[in-house]
Amino acid sequence: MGRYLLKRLLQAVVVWWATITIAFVMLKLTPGDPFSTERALSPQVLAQLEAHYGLDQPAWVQYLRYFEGLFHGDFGPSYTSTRSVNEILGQTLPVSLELGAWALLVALAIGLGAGTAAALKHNRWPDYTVMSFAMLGICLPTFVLGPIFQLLFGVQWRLLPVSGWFAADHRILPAITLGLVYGAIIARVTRGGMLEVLSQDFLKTARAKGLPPMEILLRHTLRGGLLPTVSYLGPAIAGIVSGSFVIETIFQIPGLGRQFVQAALNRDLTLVLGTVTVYATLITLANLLVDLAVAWLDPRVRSHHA
Amino acid sequence: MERAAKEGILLMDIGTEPKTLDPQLATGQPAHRVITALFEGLVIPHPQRDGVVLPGVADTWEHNEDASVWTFHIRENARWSDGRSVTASDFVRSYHRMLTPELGADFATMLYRLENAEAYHRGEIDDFREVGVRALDAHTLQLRLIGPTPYFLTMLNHYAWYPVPVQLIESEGGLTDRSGDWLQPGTIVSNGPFVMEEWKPNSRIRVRKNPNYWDHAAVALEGIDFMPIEDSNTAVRMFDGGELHIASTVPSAVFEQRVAQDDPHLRMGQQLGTYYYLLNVNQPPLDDVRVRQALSLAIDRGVIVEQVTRGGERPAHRFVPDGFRDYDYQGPVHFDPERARALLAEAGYPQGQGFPPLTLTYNTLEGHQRIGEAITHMWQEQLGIRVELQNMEWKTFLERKDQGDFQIGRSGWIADYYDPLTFLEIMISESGNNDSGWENADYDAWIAQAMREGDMAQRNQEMGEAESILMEDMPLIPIYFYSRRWLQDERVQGWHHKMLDNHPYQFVSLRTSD
Repeated sequence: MGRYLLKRLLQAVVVWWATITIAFVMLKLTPGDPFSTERALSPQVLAQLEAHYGLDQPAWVQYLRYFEGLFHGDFGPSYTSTRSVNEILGQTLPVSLELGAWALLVALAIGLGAGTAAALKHNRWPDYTVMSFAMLGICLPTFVLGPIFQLLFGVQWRLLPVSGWFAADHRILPAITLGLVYGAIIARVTRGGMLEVLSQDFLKTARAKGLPPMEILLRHTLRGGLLPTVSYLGPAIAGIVSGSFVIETIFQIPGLGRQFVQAALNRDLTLVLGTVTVYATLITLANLLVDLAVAWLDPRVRSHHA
Repeated sequence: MERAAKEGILLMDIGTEPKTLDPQLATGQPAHRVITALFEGLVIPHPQRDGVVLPGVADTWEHNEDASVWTFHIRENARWSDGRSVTASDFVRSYHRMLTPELGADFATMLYRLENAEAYHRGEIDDFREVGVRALDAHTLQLRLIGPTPYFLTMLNHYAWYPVPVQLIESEGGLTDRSGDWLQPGTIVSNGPFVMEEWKPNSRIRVRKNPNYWDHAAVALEGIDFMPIEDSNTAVRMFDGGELHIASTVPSAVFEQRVAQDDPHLRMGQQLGTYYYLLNVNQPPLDDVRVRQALSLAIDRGVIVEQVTRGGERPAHRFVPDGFRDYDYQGPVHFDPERARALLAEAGYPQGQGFPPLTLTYNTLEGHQRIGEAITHMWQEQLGIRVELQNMEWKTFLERKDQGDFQIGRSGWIADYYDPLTFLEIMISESGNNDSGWENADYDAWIAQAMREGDMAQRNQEMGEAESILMEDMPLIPIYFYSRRWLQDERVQGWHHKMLDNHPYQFVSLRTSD
């Protein structure tokens, strides 16, 4: 297990380095600079700005300097904000993580419940209902769902705030909007996993022994039936964390996703690299945790890695 | 929102998150909206009338005969939020910082009206005492300008001319530090009607009444919440949901719907801005003035504003938008397809035969695309020429334009201050904003003369001469004058249409229902 972890950590370091390097090269190749606006800057001002941020140096010097800062935990200054990248990440990451956590909770609650129910009532009306809604949830993009929720709950009924990120009730609509899509996918995956387990012999034995249905479900079915779901959580977490840009824009949430997109549009190199690093870390971490969880759930995988 | 109204807190959106609130480094409308709450200049804009100022930090002023030397008397009770007096030397030191090349201030050029300011900013002289700003005593500020500037007061409304707390900035990272540590709540000191209470990036900037403001008794609002909302559809939904008193822009689709519904919250008015196509005069066939004229004459601008933009815009008849008092040059831009065809034939392309392929480039936005489609269709229909449409991401587009790597480029310009020069000066030969490659010595001469003209009537005439050259040579095709559309809650009082969108918040109040 220790060697396995070490291998995975080494992989993560390579992924980090490659992600940052690719992002750096891509941004350097992209036309446009962080300081350009519709109003032209005087050449002296532009030169001052470039000197100030070290952009007058050759690209490879900038690249090395960036890594030098990174080793000291310094993501550098943002070119288009008065705040440093460290400061911006420190303010936006917790918000995105919180949003992601709520959304994941919603996704799991809906997905596991509906998926299990559908599997147990296979090919009967609860199954069809759940799967139809799941299909709808997968197909409806968040930029449609979000505004619909805002109009219904915020404008029409005035039950919840339309947008913002201040009090507890500001969390509800964005978490549900972001969570629903993943909830729908989880429902489908869970249903599939459960159906597979339900058809296996050891469950027939359990039923034949006369065990109560609830005990069969909790002790025997879920453990095996949830394996695909847990495996799917890696990509799901990655998607929830990195894909919240749309939600953050619609609901005015001061998170990392909005910052990332703005930074790319602004050619704010250090801020883009900072966010990319954070995303790479989060996604690598999420996948690692999921792999460990799968290993714990499935003895076959566990022995394979041991 | 009712609670906010009762507490006297105005809730409004400001578009995007301001990159900084440092008045000397800020650019753009979002920052402008917040800065005018926090800081105050020598004068303040009139709450209702464009181009009219009221006393601000200065309670009186006078100028010499040709309006080239101005003396401002700073009121004794003008204070910073920490209680310190606002003095003439605060202005001197502020302008010194603004003109220090290492600061890299975008709007330093606004201060070029001051004698020797440009030379100092370019590093040609080292002694700031040669620049035309002087504290005659603690409360008397003298500004010597490069020439007669009768319209100087309206320029002073721009935040580039505001004082900043130089002492504080020096202690928080130094004068040329761009990190803006001094702007943080708890640290920042300002001299306007409000002080910063909270700055949550991408979420909310909250300001509260400044008890040290000289006219604080007149300030009706207790505070303002500025919310950066990029998506104007979200802002409209927040307004409808009772979370904003003012939604500062209304998308055109929503606008039409609200007009149809007779929404009492909908407000609109003209804006000092022009939507136009910039022509690269170095690229054949656009190097031929007849071709440029033909392209302009073939555009039916009435159709564009009535059927495409549909948001209260007005067809442009010249480059400078309508709305500047006494500037009455009647622009020649109009729709005349016959004349357009004749000119194109004269240029060697009868019925568009042999006309080389042209590309119209715009930054990616649905509205620009619709206008581009309509106009290229008109060119095809009227002149028999094909112009390709090409969309481009914003920063890429800016770089292409800057490098002259375009043929026809979508452009827009919004006034920085209330004077036609804010438009006309961008087309002089040495302007960094003149990407057309067009240079005209007569035009430059007229503008130079207007910049130093003491007589207002004479000056308007000189600017008119310059603009007639511009419209004759046509390095740009004006299309329409922008409009402004916003939603305003009925409780908001004292918020009037301003073409420059500068609203002194000390005149705004919220009526409570009980």
